[in-house]
Amino acid sequence: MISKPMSDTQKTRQHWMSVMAKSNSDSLIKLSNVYMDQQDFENIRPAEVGLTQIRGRMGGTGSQFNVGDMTITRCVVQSAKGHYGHSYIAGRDKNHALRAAQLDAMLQDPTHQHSLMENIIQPLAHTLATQQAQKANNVAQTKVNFFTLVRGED
Amino acid sequence: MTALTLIKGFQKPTHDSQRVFRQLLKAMSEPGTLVCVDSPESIDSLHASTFAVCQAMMDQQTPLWLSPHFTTSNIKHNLHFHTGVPIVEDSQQALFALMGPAEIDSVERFPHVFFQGTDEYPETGCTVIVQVQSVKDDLGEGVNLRLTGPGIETAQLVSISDLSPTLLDYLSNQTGERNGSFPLGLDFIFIDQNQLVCLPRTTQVEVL
Repeated sequence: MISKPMSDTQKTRQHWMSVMAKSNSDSLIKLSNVYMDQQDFENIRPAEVGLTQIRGRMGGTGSQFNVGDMTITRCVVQSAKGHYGHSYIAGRDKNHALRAAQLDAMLQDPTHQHSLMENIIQPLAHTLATQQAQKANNVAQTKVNFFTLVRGED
Repeated sequence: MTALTLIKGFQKPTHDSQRVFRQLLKAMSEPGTLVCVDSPESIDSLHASTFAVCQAMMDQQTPLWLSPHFTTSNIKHNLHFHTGVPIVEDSQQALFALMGPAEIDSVERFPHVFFQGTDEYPETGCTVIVQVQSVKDDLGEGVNLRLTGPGIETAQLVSISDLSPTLLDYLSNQTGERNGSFPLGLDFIFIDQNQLVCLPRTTQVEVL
């Protein structure tokens, strides 16, 4: 399937949505509480829990197969300025989904974007990167290399 | 690309859709009984009440046909967003049809334009949702109907505004088609701004 290349705006939004979805719910809510005063949102689609099917490719390139089902929570809100905020998160934490959707709507608003990126998204992204590096390090320590011995027939 | 408007759906999706479903069940099993349904917002020509019925009844497995009156990108976008319903061009494939009362006259080959079910599975016939100005459970200025049949103790009187002659002829079995094709046929939901009345295929309709 050939898809259109994403614009920069789309890439940035994908980045912050991804960071908010992968981050710990408590830290996201704690970091963003100060920005939530006097923000008004309508629930277009209240946070709801559901299943989605995960599909994968063997080795990343083979043909598609169904890996299994996964619980996700999704939410859509509209800010008072008319921006729609969407969120899809793993698990069944409705508060996480709601806050991520609200922040997604606020992040689309240029007046908030800069401070939110600086004070919420970047710290969270940093934490995620650290965790990722730590995990990669832990896994790397248990790496086993397999060698095939030459039987020496020639 | 112009931005499409998304409207608020059910705020408590589980309970709200169960309530609307229960109301529809009552209206369908006791034809002529008026029930109230509601959803937070309306969009374009689609009433909030009609949108409530759509949210309660439709999902990925119930193809929906929209009449030209309701075929706007906002309505399609919202129905698809809130219910995931596939919107079909071919009315024969639809399990639900949504239309205005006058549009039945402009539809060719009514009622055969809609799928009426098969002998093995008559319940797969299309349910036609007709959005009208007003429905009343008494005689009124609209078209007055006297209903008898299963679910009705003696007779029910309803008044539905602006029904087209084609639809009235079909409902009152003037052509003999409605009763002749039973148990195949179409079920109707007539809905105004906040209440609805159902005419399932078992109900005998007499125009007063």
